[in-house]
Amino acid sequence: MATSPPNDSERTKAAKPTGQFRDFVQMHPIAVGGAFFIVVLILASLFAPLPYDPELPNPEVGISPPSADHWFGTDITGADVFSRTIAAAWVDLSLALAGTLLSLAIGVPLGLATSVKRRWSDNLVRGMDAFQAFPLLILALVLVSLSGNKLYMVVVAIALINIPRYMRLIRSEVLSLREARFMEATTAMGVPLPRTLRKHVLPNVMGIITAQTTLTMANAIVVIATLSFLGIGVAPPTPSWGSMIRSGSSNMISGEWWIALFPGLFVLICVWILNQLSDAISDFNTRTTR
Amino acid sequence: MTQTLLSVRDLSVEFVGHKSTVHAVNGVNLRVNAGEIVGIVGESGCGKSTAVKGILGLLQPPGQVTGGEAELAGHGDLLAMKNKQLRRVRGASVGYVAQNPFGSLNPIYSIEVQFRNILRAHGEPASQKIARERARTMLANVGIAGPDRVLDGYAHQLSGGMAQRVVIAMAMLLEPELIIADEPTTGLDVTVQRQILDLIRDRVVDSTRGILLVTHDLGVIAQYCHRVVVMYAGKVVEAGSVETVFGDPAHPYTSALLGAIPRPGHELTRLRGSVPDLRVIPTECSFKPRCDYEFAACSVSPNLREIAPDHLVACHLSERVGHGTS
Amino acid sequence: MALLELEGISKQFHARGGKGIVRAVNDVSLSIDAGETVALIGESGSGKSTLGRLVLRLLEPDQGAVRFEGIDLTKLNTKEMREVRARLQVVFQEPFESLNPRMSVGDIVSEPLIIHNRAMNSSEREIRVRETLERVGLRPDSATRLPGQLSGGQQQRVGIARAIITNPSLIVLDEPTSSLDLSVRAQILTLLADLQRELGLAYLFISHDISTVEYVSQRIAVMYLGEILETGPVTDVIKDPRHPYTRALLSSRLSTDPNESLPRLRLIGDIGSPTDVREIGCVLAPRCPMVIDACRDRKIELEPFAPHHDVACIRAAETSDALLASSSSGIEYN
Repeated sequence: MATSPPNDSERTKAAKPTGQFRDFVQMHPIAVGGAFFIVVLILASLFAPLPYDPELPNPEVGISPPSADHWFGTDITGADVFSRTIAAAWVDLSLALAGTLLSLAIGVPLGLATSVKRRWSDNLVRGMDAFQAFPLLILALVLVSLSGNKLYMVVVAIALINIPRYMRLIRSEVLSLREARFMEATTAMGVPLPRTLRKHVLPNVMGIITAQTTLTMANAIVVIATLSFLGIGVAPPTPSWGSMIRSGSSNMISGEWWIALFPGLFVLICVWILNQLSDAISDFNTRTTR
Repeated sequence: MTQTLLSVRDLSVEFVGHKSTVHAVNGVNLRVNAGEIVGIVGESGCGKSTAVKGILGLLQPPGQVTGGEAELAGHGDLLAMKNKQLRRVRGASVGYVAQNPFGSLNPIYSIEVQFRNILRAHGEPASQKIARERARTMLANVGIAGPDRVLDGYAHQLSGGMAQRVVIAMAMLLEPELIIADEPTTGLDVTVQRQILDLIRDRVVDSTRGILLVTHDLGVIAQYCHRVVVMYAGKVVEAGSVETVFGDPAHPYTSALLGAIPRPGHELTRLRGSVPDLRVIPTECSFKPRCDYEFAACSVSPNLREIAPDHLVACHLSERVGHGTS
Repeated sequence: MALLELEGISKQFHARGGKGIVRAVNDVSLSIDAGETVALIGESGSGKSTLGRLVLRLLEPDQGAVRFEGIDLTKLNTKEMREVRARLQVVFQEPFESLNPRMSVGDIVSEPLIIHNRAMNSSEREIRVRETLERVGLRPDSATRLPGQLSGGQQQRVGIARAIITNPSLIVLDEPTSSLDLSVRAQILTLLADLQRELGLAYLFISHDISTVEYVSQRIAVMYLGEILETGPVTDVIKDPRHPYTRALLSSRLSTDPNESLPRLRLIGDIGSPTDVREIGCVLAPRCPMVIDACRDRKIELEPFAPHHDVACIRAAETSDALLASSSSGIEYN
């Protein structure tokens, strides 16, 4: 054994890499609380017994303000706004999640691929840039209406909007990672490319992917709400926040504010939470490596 | 009688965090006389750089000076000054040369404009022509043969050595009595390093001016400084003339540092462990865990005391056996 | 036979912004025997780190051969090269940057085994990792830590552990102690010396610090702007430097003895840029205090000055006193 001095007393900076989740909760309680809220919302939307059938009009009740019976009031058909708002959560969030996962599944490999190979990747990136210059919301609109209002097209549209973003993000991240000294060390060790990607590249871009994914979710919620606000995608009587805002917007002027306000508030809260979560993840990510 | 330019007493700096406070500098005393180059030496984290930033009021939060005074001859206590007053003194009476010259130069202004801005900031209304003339004289003074070319150029056109010369010229522009240089040659190549140090010794110091030079390089201290202050864990452990401190070090840390310089045929001195945690104020000597000469008295933190004329040591060993750990 | 033999290797880069080319390494030949330390010394821009990367084939040379254990590495394909890498390793200057921040110390140190010792099962690997960590002076339980949780000295020990675990015969040490504090540096230098003795390693020690080089190496090659200007046994070169640049480099060393002032040789101005290297003539000519017309007329080759001591200077034989006398040009900058 080498006769080197004992290093027991050399200073170590932090604890073992366990309990990372606990650290995250301690550092960002608001973001974690928000994430918990969204999970509960989805579960409630799926399994909780709602006070009224969200899709059932009730002409006897008609339009009525929030009350003990109808917490969020009722809409013009007499349907319970609270039940509809909660039921819409699963409809909207599941579509958003599907769109996000699809863009992730295509965008990340594309990003990785374009950062490894050279010649064709530059062209692909340039093509994607040109594609991004196109007003993508309008493209989504056209696609969904051309498909005859198929819901899967909403998912495809969200993916189309977000794939170029993922690709660019991953690519720029990997390109700067490639300059890192430890990547040079992997070459010097003879680490094969697949292992380099799996063990060295992915773990180091995972944080930024997660942060971007929550942002994409937020963006997808807005896109879905926008589409259904315009009467495309999720069509009534299936509840969705966008269509509820649309149907309630005409009542705003006449004073029936609750029909549009509550679904609007839920969009706002979900988007805000996801943004908080994204910030928290990127913050945590930079802190844990230093 | 030599004039004392700067006298620092009991300087303390803390970095206050949420959970803990780092005591980066703990009661540092030092003095710079006119005509002297005084070196502060120590390893990273010893507080040498933090101390001079504290003296100059350049600490960024959460760092703050928590005690002591820094008396600048003719101006009073720097630490008690208001920001506005301090800004006037800095530059005019104390020049500052930082480690990275490019950090001190503004990339979007020509060098000439930056010289002019310094004059203007200190209320020396000079015409463009006079300002340029003064800048040119300064640049020539720091050994730049083509000052006009440099004045019309920008920072990015300069090599590291040239940029540091320009920064030194700027620091000297208002003829301050004291210049504080924080690792002025650390990023530079070795052949250029000596040119800059020669410049500081030959052109910056004169009978009325002094320099406080922060460095981690013992060779720089030995070859260029008159007096040296050795810091460890936020405290001065030994101070005195360079001949005495380097020739006959009285603190085991000083000896260990000198012994850690590679010399063919000599076994390297290896210090055990590393610098202590500055979040706790130790009651024992902070060097005790790494010291080969540690004995009973070391459980009490030693004070800096004079063991010979102009030779101060903070070590109980010096009380016991006189000095000399070798 | 030498363990490593560089034969006339050159590497050029395109300058940033597309203007001209940078001759980072120009027609360099060098050899290292098994178990010896050869130091490559020079300032920034000298091409010493590029040369290290050419040896490791992290960069492809434009010309020349890199013979390691008798095989020309430049002729190998990726798979063949991978097999060589087990015996040709590297330790970088920046200890933290050279370790994957998201991998535990144990995973980092065992990775070379996973690649090069396929037959080894995971428990054998674990034992080997523990042994290696102990050998470099780390506690075995540091295997569970992340690099960010270690001090700079410990991080560099991890880098060294990763380099030695596959029993290499040559390690390229690229300024391994430059970013470390003095006392930590001494620990690492001692560790490297111990490992060399026990494992029979050869080192290519890249450094700008002459004291370190003098302490660790048997032979030395002085580089400036992509060329080796002087090479020989370390004692000969340091006691009797024959190239003005070596002399300048040596005289830039600052003794820690206040009463010892070393003879000075000042070069003119700052280090040149590799982009404006002249096609012919000595690379030092623009800065050399003893330059004569002949220096600019032809390429100055390394020529034997004494046994094993080569110098690329046509005035190598002239006395050093004349040289020092001519260099009193002070601190003027041109």
